Amino acid sequence: MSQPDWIILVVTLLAIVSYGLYKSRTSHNLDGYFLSNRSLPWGLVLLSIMGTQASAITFLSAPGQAYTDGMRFVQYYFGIPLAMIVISIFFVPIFRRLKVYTAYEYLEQRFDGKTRTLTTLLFFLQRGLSTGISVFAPSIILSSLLGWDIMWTNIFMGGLLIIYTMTGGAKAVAYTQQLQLMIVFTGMFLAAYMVVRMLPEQVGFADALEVGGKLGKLNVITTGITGKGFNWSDQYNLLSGIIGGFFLALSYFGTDQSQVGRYLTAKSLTESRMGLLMNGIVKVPMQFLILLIGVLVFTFYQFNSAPIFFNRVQLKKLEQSGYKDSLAIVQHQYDSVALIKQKTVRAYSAARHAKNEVLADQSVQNLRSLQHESDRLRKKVVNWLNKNVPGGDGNDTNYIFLRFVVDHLPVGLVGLLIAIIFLASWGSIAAAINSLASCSMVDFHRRFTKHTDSAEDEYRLSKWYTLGWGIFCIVVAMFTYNIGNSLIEAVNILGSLFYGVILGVFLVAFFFKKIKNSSAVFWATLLAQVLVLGVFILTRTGVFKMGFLWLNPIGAFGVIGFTLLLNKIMAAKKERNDD
Amino acid sequence: MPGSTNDKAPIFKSWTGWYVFVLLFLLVLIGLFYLITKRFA
Repeated sequence: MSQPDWIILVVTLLAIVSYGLYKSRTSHNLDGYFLSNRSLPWGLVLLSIMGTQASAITFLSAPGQAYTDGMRFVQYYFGIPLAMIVISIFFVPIFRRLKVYTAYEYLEQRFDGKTRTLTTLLFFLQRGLSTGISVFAPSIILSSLLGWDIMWTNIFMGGLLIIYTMTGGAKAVAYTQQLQLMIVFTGMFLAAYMVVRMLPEQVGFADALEVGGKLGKLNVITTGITGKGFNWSDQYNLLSGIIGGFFLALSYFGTDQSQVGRYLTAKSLTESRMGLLMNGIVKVPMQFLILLIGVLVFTFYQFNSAPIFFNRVQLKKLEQSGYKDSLAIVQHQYDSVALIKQKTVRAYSAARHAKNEVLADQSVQNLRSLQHESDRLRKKVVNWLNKNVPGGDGNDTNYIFLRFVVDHLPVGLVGLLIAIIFLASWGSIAAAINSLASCSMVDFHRRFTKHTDSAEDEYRLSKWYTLGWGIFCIVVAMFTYNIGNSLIEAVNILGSLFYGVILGVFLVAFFFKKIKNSSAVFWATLLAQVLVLGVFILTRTGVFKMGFLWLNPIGAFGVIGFTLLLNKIMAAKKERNDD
Repeated sequence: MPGSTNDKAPIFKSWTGWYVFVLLFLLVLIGLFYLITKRFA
């Protein structure tokens, strides 16, 4: 990285930390520290909700996803608007009326203490580990691309934000997220603008879309239906996006304290609802635009040589293995195909501008064959890495966009986009640490200590919990590095393993008013969790195939079903005993 | 709807207006995406 890039990176990061500290002044009690005195307007709540959900991987992975698999990933977000409506109608009014600090507090009022403790523990397990991975995932990418030391990258990725998160709590988190998102969107817009500018002179935005579309990258809507019926293992399609995505979003936004804590900072029920509903409106178009950058990068690489594999560290491993000669041959073939492809795509563009449809159609056919050949050669490298190289990882999706940034964007913009990776990470990690600290304080400390702390003591202790969780996440990130890359994939689906079950408990609480038997809910939660883990293990061992999004409805309906069943059995048993 | 008596929906007469708007917005987006998919397929 050049000196100007370093200056931009350091200045941006220091500016955010300083701004966070400047906005840190809050009242010295839990209301001030965890809920910003319930004083924020909906605009800030909206940005906080968005900043919490959008991690660095969102901005790194989505363009890479579009590059490799096309735009269909956007369907994953279709459940969000529906979930925002349900949460606005049923969840928020109850949370606000009861003036809870955490979502799990409500469960004790509705059922009992052990149900509250169980769901909080599931939250700790899921959120604590996944936040550690949120530190590690962008760190390993930056470390691989720029040769940075992984330990220091982890510390900067997860450590600097602790300064303002610990000092200013929810208020500092919300205000910094606002600034972070503004910088992130500016940087992403500039990157998109630069991709189009770097295309050949006569090729514009519309031409770029044509090329991407003709090569199958604008597959925004897919049904998942094949000749053999609906493909349940297909991760992203209209049905899995709407149904699976709805349950995932309902659970994430409705029961994950990292999100609940954001909209409880709003100054009124109206402001909470507006923040959520506006998120339902802007989230899908925002993801669409981020994915579109990936399509533009794909088109750019039709006119320019693309790396056969975007993670150079992995490619080096292959070069040092027994596949060195095979790789050289495949690389040579790949480069030859790329050169012909560049000529063909230029011919296609010229034919389009000359309105020569016959030549344009012929060029498209040629281009598709060449792309097919490119994909085949790239797949060879991926397979070698996955199957034959020790420690090999054939997934380079997260590296595609940043490799493009480092290799092709001008000085200054590289520094800004690296800063964006940090800022996007900080936004989601800060909110997660704040929520973990609030649950530690409210759902555990307050309940299990024998004495009553003063408001000032609780405020001081909450800061220590924030620091503790921050350190925990960095330690998880370090531990992840020692275990290896394969853990990342496992933790990515961690959310779906627990979210559905937690959601199920809340659905029973909200919609099954007649269920008063808290023991039935507690045991149903445990059984449903075992069911979800069982189904997950069966899919991983290949007994049957199913996309991970479906684990969310299975978990939610599992809790509901088991609760109704156990409630009936326990009621019948009680009746027998009474008789 | 629980707790919906104390807050007034901006712009629309009630919150139902907002819910329908968000739903319609999603449907329009899906329709638009479908047209994009067809147009570039």
